[in-house]
Amino acid sequence: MAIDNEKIPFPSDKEIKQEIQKIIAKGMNKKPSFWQYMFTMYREVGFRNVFRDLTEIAFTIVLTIAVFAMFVLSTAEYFSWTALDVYTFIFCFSPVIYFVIVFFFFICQKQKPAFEVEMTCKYNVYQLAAFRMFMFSIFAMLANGVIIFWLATEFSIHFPFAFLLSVASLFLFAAAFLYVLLYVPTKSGKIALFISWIAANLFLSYMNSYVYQAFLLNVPYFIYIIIGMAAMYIYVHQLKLFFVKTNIKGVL
Amino acid sequence: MLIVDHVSKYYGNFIALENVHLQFDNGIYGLLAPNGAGKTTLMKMLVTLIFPTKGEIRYNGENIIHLGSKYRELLGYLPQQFGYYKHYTPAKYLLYLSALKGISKHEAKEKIPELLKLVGLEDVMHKKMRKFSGGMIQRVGIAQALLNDPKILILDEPTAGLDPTERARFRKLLTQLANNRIIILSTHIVSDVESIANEIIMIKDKTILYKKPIRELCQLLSGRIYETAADFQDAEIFRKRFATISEKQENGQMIFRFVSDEQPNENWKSVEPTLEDVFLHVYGEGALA
Repeated sequence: MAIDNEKIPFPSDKEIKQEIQKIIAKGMNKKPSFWQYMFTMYREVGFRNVFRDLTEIAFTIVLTIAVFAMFVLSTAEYFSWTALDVYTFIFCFSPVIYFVIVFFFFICQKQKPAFEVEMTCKYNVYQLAAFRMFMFSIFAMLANGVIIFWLATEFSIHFPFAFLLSVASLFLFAAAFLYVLLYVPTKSGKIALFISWIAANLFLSYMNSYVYQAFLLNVPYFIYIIIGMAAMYIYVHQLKLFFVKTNIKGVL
Repeated sequence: MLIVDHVSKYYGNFIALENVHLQFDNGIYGLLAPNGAGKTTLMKMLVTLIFPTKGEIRYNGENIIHLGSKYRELLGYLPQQFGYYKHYTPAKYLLYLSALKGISKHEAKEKIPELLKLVGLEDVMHKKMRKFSGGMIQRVGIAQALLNDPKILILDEPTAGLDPTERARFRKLLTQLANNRIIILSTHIVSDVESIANEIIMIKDKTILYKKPIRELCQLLSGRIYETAADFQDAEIFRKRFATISEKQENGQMIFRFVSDEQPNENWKSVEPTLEDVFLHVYGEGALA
């Protein structure tokens, strides 16, 4: 019988690796995306358990908005708000509702007696925190929208522009806040960021109100859209880190 | 299989655990060491509450930190200080934790009464936990650890606050559960593990001293444990002369149990070593406190 001496081409190391990767990829379950995971988590945990402290949250929001409304109404008697001042106010204070709710949430988390058990559950405190922060940012954006709508009826401001300004400001702050949360493991870091944000904006507007407002107003719409989108992207990217990191020093 | 692969944990300059290497298959493991030896640190690393400074912990070959929620899905954990919400009933609290564990409401509602019955709390399942005793709270803790039928059950001082009957019931429950899961039980109470653990792990000087079945551990002291009676007035001299591991009063005399490499007196016969002898020999009498 004739022996077939024909050479069998042996695959290169690179080809072997590629084939192994293909086999593994086919054999493994597809990893759910961040959004799919969030949705599944929400479905399994349920609204009631994600927002167990809904009454406290609602109270905090109403109190924050009330303080703001009082501030605007009381200062209106002594200080004549121009449209430019209102834009400054919107840019400076848009992250406040978000900050207050998230900060309140982290204070409550730390006081939870069942922290250790909840941290070892399938959906742990960080994952719930990420989901809640995302929902808070959406809520803060909408609440800001309502406040701006009210401001637009009182002062002659351009609603779409003011809303865009507010969204860009909110997500810029939220992205910075998450960065501090993840990489600066001190309680004071979170408060310092918030105070710095407000102080820096007020200082800039006070020192040179004309230049600051001109900067806010002369930046074209699309730049704000780009800033807002970039900030949102960074924000979501930071939120994803909460899902992979199971214990982050200083966050809670 | 769960492998603790040369794990160390440091807090700044403080060494909590050093080069711990362990392997767990299905069965009950008793982590026996006095308070402050590093049991809780090891437990917390096993449940991903804290991370190793060096080394890694793998479950079926994958790092548990990378497995994330897939690993936590398999976990049941009872911490040393079991936290709860005073205004919740056991049923409501377990329903809440079921949601966090990804268990459907329907399944949870079937399982919760069963578990509460198992730990003897079926009569108070709808009563607020505000007025519960320490033992009752601990039983709620045991029930929550079993909610997701965990493949890895980690219990840190689970019998704290339980009375002798509850302890016996708990040991029986663990034996029933042990055939298809890993159960790691940390305690400084020898009787908690001596009748049920497949292996005993002893930590000393921040690292693993022994991981052996009880029989093999006891063999370490085979032929070296003696028991004898002495008068009260001779007790102090006796203590100075021999390494006593326990003593008790009986019929107006002191009964000493002690370790000696040679037979100190031909009338004194050696006795079978127990796990408590090994524990006391390794850690000293103060460890039982």
